[in-house]
Amino acid sequence: MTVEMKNSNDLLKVEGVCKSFGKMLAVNQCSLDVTKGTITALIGPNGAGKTTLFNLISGFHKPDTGKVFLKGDRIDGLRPDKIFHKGLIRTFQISRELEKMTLLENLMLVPGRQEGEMIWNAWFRPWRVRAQEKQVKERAIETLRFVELFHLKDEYAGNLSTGQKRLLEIARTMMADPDIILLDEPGAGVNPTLMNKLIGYIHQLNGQGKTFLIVEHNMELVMTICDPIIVMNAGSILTQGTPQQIRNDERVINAYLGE
Amino acid sequence: MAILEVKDLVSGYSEVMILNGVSIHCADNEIVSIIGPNGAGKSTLMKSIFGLIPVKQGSVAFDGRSITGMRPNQLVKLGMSYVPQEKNVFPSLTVEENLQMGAFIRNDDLTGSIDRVFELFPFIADKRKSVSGTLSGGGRQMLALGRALMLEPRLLLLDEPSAGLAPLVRDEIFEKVMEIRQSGVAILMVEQNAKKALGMSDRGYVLVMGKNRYEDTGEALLANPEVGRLYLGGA
Repeated sequence: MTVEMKNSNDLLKVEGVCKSFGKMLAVNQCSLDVTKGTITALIGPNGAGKTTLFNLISGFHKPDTGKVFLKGDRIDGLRPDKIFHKGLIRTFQISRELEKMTLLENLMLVPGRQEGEMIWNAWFRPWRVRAQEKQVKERAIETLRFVELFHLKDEYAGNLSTGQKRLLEIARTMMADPDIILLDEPGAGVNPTLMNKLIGYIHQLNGQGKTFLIVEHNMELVMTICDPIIVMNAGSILTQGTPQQIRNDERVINAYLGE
Repeated sequence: MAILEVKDLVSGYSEVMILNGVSIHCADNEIVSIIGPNGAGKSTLMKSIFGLIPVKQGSVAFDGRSITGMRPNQLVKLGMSYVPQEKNVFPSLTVEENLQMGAFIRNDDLTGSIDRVFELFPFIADKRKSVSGTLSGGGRQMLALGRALMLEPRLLLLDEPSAGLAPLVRDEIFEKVMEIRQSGVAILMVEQNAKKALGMSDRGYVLVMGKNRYEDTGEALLANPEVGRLYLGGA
């Protein structure tokens, strides 16, 4: 147990993380905490460094300096799949569904370390593999019903609309049953009707105990379901607060208007 | 006399309308900025004007003549040029070839126009034989502007010319935009850097959720505290 983790409610802790690309300092000494059970938003103008910070947390980039903790364990520098197995899952701004697989197959692939992946089990314990596969399939169906995509279960994921792909991403994160879900612009390219559904699903999952960290430009989503809101500008954390505080913060407004 | 007049424009993608009745105008030799939060419809407005997205309702007029529903290839002949936000140069072609591509509908000698572009952008003149994919962000943006100028337009549409550029490079691009305007070209510009854009514009429009919200001189919009709040979802 590390000394830094005094507060056990801090599910995710980022400490003084930096990342440069060439001469560009994309993320500069960023620190933040995500408390268990919250929907925390990460907002800021284009180019503030939000997605880079996501990449640093989820293992897609290695920080130049600084530390990242998940449930008290250092995860900075670990590979994305290791971080996934430790309980952190993220989505991407551009959906990354497996287009030539059906929705059901997309979801059934998510839970890692399935019995059938080991040749030994597949040959000598087929009943165990079958039993587990049945379980996974049932969960996948249940998840598809939750995001109201069940009627499309045998459709190729590549044929979905942008909005439906967003819902499939949410479904995939649910299949992983993680401790914390990082969503990178879940509302991008989503029409207003679907947006309301999306807000509803996130809210509902949060009610079931899921913790979220969300990068989003849609202020309706941010201001209605997120608290706290962390604001980034030019690679640094500018401030943090409740929706009410952030809305009235002149520094935040100035950051959005540019220098 | 307005060189561009957009009235009650409705447009979008398949079943989703992004613009729900936008009206703007731009006078001869005027520089006008469109600002607003992400998803307001700024880029969609540019694409609709330039005929890249079909207009569902409303009208667009250029120099007093209706151009609603016209295609980009027709519009460039009338004197309108457009610089997209991304993918605005041909990365595998040289700088000079890119400029030639910008004028592919012209049959006359391009030397004079190319020289003028290089005079405006000495930085890319030095790299005329380089493959444009090797240019820096600022160099690429200069080339994109230069390419758009090759048809000697009367109106230039710019979609976020400063996106992704370092502050110093961004300021240089904005200075060039001012120079282009001084040479007699009207400019309609979408920008995420509202302060810079309004600071150099004659007039500006604030777009929110596909509708006009505010319209005023650049200075007045900058001084309006409500404009900033709109970025944070204030009504």
